[in-house]
Amino acid sequence: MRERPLSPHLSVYKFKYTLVTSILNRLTGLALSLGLLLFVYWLTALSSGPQAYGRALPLLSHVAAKALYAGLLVAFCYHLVAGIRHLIWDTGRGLERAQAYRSSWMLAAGTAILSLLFGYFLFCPVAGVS
Amino acid sequence: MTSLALIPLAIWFVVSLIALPATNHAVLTDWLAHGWNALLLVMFGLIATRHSQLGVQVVIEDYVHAPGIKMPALILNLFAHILIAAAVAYAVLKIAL
Repeated sequence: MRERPLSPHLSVYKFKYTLVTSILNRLTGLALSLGLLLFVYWLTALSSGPQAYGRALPLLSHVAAKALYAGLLVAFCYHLVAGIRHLIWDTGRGLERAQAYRSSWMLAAGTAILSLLFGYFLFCPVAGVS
Repeated sequence: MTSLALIPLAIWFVVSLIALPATNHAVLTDWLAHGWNALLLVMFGLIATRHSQLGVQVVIEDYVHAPGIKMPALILNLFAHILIAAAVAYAVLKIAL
């Protein structure tokens, strides 16, 4: 097939906050897709009996793994709030430029708050979990 | 509307993890044996996998243009996610039933 011309995009698009929030939503989504693989590994180990799970546990409890969980948690919180924002956009609300900028900041704040909230309960020994 | 269904399901999953006293084999299998937990976990896993498949599909469609790679990539994406979905369902049901 003959090489078809493409109009310029990244080279001409003006930088906007909504540009960042959009690509971050995509990146966090991809990160979570990788997390899905970890999820399957965990469940498969669990269903393979206590010995198999005992072999998987050191890997899953490793410090590097915990750092990964923290990253996935932040990615999840971001993707959740950004996703809800998308759903709101689907109803036609909040599409004006000023509104989109404002919701970008609310998105950042929401991500931070949710990440800290969930992160505290998931990782703090005080709260007594894994 | 996988994203809509995932809002409550994903939050349920994270909150359930928080509520668990530990994540060893005994506690987890016990948790799955009770109430709706196994059902909700399967639903979460399957719907999240479908959501992931759709997301990756859009990424492939947006960034992969070479005709010899695009189609195989899309097929591979679909098959990989079907495999993941099957693995999730199998693992949870194996524990819960």
